[in-house]
Amino acid sequence: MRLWNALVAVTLIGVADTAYLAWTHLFGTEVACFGGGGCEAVQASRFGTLAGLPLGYLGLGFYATVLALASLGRGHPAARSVTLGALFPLTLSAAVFSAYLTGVQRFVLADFCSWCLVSAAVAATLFGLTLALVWRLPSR
Amino acid sequence: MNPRRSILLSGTILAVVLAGVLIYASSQGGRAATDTGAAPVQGAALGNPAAPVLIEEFADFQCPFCGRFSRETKPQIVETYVQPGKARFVFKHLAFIGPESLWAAQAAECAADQGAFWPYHDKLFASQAGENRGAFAKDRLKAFARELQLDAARFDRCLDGDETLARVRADVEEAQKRGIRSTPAFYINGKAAVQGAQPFEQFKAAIDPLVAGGR
Repeated sequence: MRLWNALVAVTLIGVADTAYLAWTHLFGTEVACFGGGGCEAVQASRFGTLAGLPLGYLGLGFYATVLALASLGRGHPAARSVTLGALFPLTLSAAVFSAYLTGVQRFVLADFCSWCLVSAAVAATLFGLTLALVWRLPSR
Repeated sequence: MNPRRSILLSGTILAVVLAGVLIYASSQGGRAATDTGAAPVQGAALGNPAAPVLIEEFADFQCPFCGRFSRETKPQIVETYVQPGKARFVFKHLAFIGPESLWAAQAAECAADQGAFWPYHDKLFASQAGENRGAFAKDRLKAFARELQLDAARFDRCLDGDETLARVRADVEEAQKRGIRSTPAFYINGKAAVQGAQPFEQFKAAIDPLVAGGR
């Protein structure tokens, strides 16, 4: 149960992080960047959107989906196997894509967006928690 | 197969496919596209010379916000005002971020000499990657010209010979005289109107009264 609680709690951090980015894009307000000032430049770059959609919105959609699945698994033990079947590929692909985007910030743009780095850390943690939960499933 | 093994195996395959699609889309994404349509093109100017509204953009090809404007807002401006002949859009260089800004601006003018300013402009904004890190090194700028099927020998001569440097410098001096300090900056009918990569509605609010009233 503790792992499921942690999954929900960490997902909420991702929701808050990407909701802030989506909100700044929606209302055209400046992103308050901590630990450096690359947030605006990274988001305005060609890597800041995917098929025309700003990554903040995409991230928010991802975390909202994970939150729904994690809440379902936390509250309904009978549904955990199915829930983890969806969570595992979702969190793994998000962790890989976030690692790619972190590489883009480091090696292509030479600029960092702190909110994006938080999201990358959250995505990696979610994958780790999901893997631990899958590992705990009965072997038969 | 037990559930754990099944999730790990099918989940990993699904995740690899999903991540691959996302990474591919990200590396291809954000391409700027100036649909000139039937609008007349004269170098870096697009649209009817007698249009009641003149929009001047001062920009740097390395500036990410200029890229964002080019991808997100300009297509709507071109479609709504330039193609129907209500406005003329002119791109002017405020190359200030570094040497690659200047080379990119010169290269765009070399492309303009071959009637390809806008495709080259789109290519530059679609190829932004940091500042002065080689994205717009001269060899890459020449490769863009080949990709766009321009006359390569003529383009290389133009870029290497600084044939368009004076033209770029004239734009930069004009921007300095107008007191522009950041990009993108927009003048509409000679007056400072919009600063930064603002949404289409801000441009609409500035342009519509002029379309209705004439220059």
